[in-house]
Amino acid sequence: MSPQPAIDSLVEALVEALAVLPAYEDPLLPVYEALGPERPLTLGAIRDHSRLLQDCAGRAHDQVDAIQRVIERCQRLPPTPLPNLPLGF
Amino acid sequence: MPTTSPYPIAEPATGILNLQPTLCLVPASDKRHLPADLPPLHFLSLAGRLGELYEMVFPDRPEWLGQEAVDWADEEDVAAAVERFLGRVNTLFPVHDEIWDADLEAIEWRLYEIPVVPMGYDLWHDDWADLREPALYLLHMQHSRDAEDHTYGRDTFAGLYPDHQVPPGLEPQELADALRDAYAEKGRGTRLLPPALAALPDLIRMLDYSTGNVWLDVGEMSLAEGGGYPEWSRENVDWLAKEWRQARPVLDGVLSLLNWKNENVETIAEKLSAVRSALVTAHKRKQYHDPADATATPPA
Repeated sequence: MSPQPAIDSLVEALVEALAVLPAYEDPLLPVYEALGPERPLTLGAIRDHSRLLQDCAGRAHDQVDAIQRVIERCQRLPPTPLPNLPLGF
Repeated sequence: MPTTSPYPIAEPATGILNLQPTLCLVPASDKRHLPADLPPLHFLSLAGRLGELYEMVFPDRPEWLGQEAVDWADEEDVAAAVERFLGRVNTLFPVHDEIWDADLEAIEWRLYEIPVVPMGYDLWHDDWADLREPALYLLHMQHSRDAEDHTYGRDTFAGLYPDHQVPPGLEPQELADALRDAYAEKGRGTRLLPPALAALPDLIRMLDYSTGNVWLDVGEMSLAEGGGYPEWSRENVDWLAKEWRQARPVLDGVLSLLNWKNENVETIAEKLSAVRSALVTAHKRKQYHDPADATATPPA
């Protein structure tokens, strides 16, 4: 028996889940906003925002770790025909 | 679901979802680039740590934080900023302030452990032949006497210094205090230990790793191989600076002694004669004053 129907249903669930995800938000945005206007950027300015830098860098690291985990799981999936997927997905 | 992702996504074949060759490029977080007018995130994190160290080590120089621009384009720029910091630390105590290998990991290490330059001997590693007198004389006296103690039955000390032998019971490391006390005495003491030999007790202690000062009792190789570099902390900085203030004049004195009469074989022989005379005299005095020693084998 072909597993295709089961895969199609999983892909549908995946597409639905992706559709409700919020738009990508760069965790380093607050750093750009705080340090971007600093001219010149000095050690003092960075020290003034050290807590923010630390927090945002931590979130960026966490994000990369999460993406790595997703990638590892995706890479284990075999190529699958997807007649229902929008072109270019 | 159109979103803007910073990660490159390859176009799959129409109608086929093939995730294997696609989502394989993820920028490592520490290499992540910020907008063009800001240094990469990892550089900013290093700058944050460097600023923290400036505040910790130089709390009375807040202006340096404002003078250090973080316009770092590459590892060379990061290394230069860390070198400037370490150069300033060098005014408090000796540290390696030159970074030859501008590798980020090597640079970052210097921001977590203090790259101190200890001044002690590494006698297990150093080539003794490179030592200046009377260091070599004292070492052989301490370690190369008594043929029966040696595998090949050789008394290296007797072979190297036939004209400057000392009594069998004389151990230089046991005379350091007596020599120092004698030097402290006016008149009689300076006859025992002339000013040129004032640092002899310190040299003896350095060779015996018993000065009690961390800069003088630890060698660079020992520290490097032991991996015991101190971490940056206010307490460690204060402690190292205090120890260095005590060590520096001692080290200057020892270097003066090592450089004294070092011109040729004849002057070195004069230096060894002076050292031998001081040691033998101190040994005799110690025996006279110390009943325990008085029962020892009398000097030849």
